[in-house]
Amino acid sequence: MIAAALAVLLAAPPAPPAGPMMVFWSAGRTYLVDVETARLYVAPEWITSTPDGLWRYRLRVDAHRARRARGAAIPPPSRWTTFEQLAPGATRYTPLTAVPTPPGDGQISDEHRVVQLTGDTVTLTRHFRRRSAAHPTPTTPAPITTTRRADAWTLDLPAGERRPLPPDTDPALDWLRATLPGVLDPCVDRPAGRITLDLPGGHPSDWLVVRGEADACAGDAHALQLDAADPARPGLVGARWQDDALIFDDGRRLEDVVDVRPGPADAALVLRGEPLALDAPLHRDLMRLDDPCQTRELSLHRPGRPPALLGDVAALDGARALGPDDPLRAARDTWFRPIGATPCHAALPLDTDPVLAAHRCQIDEDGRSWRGPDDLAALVTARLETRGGRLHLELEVIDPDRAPGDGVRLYLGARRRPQRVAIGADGVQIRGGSRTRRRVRRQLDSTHAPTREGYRITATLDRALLGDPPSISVAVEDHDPGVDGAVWLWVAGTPIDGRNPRATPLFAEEKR
Amino acid sequence: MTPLLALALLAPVLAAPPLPTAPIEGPERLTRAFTAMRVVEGGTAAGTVRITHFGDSHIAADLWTGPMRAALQARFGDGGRGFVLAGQPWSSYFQRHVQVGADGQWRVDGLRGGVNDGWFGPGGCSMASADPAAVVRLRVPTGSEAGRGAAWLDVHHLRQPGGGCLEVRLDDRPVTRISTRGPWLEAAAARVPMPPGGERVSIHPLGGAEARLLGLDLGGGNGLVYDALGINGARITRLLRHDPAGFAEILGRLAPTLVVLSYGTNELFDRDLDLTHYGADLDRALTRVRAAAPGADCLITGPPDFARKGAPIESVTDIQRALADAHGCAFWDARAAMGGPGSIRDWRRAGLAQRDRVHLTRDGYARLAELMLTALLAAYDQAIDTTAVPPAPGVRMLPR
Repeated sequence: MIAAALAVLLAAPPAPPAGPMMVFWSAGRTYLVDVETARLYVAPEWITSTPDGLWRYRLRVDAHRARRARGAAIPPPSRWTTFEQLAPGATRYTPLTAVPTPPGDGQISDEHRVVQLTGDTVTLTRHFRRRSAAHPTPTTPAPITTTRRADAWTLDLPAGERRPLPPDTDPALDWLRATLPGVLDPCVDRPAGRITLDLPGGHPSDWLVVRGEADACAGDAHALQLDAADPARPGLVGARWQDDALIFDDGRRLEDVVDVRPGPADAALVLRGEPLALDAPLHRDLMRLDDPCQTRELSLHRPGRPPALLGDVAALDGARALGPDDPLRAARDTWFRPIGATPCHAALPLDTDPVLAAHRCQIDEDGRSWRGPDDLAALVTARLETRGGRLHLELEVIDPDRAPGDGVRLYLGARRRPQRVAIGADGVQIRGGSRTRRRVRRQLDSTHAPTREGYRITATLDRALLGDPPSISVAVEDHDPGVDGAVWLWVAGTPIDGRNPRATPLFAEEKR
Repeated sequence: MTPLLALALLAPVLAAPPLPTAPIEGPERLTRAFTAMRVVEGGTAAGTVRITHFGDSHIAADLWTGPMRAALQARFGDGGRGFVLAGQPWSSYFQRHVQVGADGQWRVDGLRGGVNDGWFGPGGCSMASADPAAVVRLRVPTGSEAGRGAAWLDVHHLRQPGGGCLEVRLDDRPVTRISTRGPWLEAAAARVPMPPGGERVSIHPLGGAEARLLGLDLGGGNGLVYDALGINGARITRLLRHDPAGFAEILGRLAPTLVVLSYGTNELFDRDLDLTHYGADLDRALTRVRAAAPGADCLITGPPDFARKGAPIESVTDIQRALADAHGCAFWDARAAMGGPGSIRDWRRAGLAQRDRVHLTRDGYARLAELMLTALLAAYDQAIDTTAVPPAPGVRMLPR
């Protein structure tokens, strides 16, 4: 049965959904809207697409502490965040923002934040702080000094190029100060960059970032809108958007509308709730361009059909229709999950047809990135005997790039430290002393056989190995030749780590 | 004098509790703490006294500090459970008088792995998540003997430019959302009023952006709060690995009345322990703690006795005692209280020490707590007798 299912999977990958779809980004996540079924799908990261494939983006946090000299004080830690990009097919992220060299003395924090990602652009802020080291002498206290700097800019994606500063910004600022004194803080006076933001309705708008260099306002930055707001607002079939309401042709009104994005098949996304902060000609606080605690109600409007409530999101950044060949379509069922779907980490599926495990939410990455189900996936069949109580497990692993360390990891038993068993090309490795290893070997039969696309593992386990209540977590560990790092596909159960070392009960009702 | 009269005169002496086997050294250095304890004694006066106890594995399981909390709250009032780590950063993290737990994807910072950027909160580690399915849970059991008097919950978190949102729920009802976003890295706290009773608290990241919890503090009740901030394997240098500003911010916000430091056992397992460097580190740690909590008194406890040949336990204890003196801290010699060198063997025979002869059993830590309480309360009683600190208006004197 598994072989047949695998053959179907490999020979004819499921056709990507062909109906009208939209994509948008909000609060660090990527959303797909299936217009036909009115379903909202979410991926817990920024994913964009080009004809080459999927691009992933993330903010990475790093910390460093200078080496401690013998007998000296422990140096304070420095910390920075980097905005990184993973190109299609790549296994490692590359930074799109500068990676600082941590100081040997003193302390820095260099923090980037994504204000808005629209698929074509990303707008970032940077807040940099440096504290000098204190070197007191018997006669001088040598106080710690702090320098700060704030900044913002927009990068074109996927190239990662910064949008240039518009020409003649200095005279324009002089003119503004003379014409409207008091609009800008006096010491915020240096043009620093240009940001482009996607405003409600889908209008791109340019801002000039102005920051202060003097001590009094170092760390402050303003954003001043460069273009006049576009008064035209997109409507939707059968309604027009006016102020904060949708006014339908039959006279009905829908209040508290903050954004409308037309989509394919005359559909439109409508966002309702608290007004978005972007709609202002001057932003004195770049932190207030968005609010992480604000969610709004998203609905889908289609001609001739009642509005469909999709869920709560913060914004509709970069909302647009997906083209027929957009790679995001094919990613819908492996990189995204429907809103309200069952949790990612379920118990081992028993007595079913083979279950395909190949989903972003089942993946743990350490040092290298998952490239999709072609990189690592597994078809899982599990059956528990009614008599004898043995568990039969079969995994057909799709892993074209095999390397030492590849294999299946079983975590068995209900104890706080489950029994660990690794099954790979080099045999069975059982964690524990010689008595434990002998006992487990008596209770476990397993095979490993290479296949064209990866390998097949079977295991039969005595019920006693599973503990009481019977508990098992299963992961496929995958290394790539020449790549330092690994990916784990959690076929069953919650990932095992120091915080959660327990295997997952086989039956949900026996959850501890 | 007739024998009967002599017995009558001796009766109060015979009935008195046994003298502590190791008294608090420098009890006059605890005057501020004792004065504050005197004010809340009886549990009817407004105000909170906070004892913040840092340490290693002896403290981590709350087996030593838990009985201290229960006994002190019985006498001085229940101000709340105090500071605990958010969720369950490691699987054996259990605390007395509170139930903690976590589900979903959390990164633990400050232990092995995670981001070692020094933003850990006073508990020594923090939990970060951007997973909307993640949750941290907290509950003071309804029948708990202590820790039920909190008036509020402080949600300590890291404010950061890319910070996300936390939703706080009481009995599954959303009560507030906390934005952890701010231009500069800083420790912050959001206060949630706690209705009386055994409400279940859960804290949920809304997802998308990372929110980082530095700890949870149930406090604000009238009486005494006792924090147990221990990490397995901790040395005194752990206090020096915090971001200096962050440590000062959060300890300042806790505003302890008394800081207790119980370290030394793990240093004694270092084969190449340099006592000069150890002293320098302890000196720095005390300087940092004293600067972060200038209104607090401080007490250092020497390492309990344990079995390891050649470990310079006397030297480490002497350094601790000397630096306690130099920094204006009181000192309590736990090893002497246990019975002195080699006493761990007796404790093991009595079922009070574990097989490793380093850690104590539950009963052993309860015994150690009893010994420390006896010493602490003897010093307290002596102090309030000699300084005549008046009780708060309306407070009835309790029998000692």
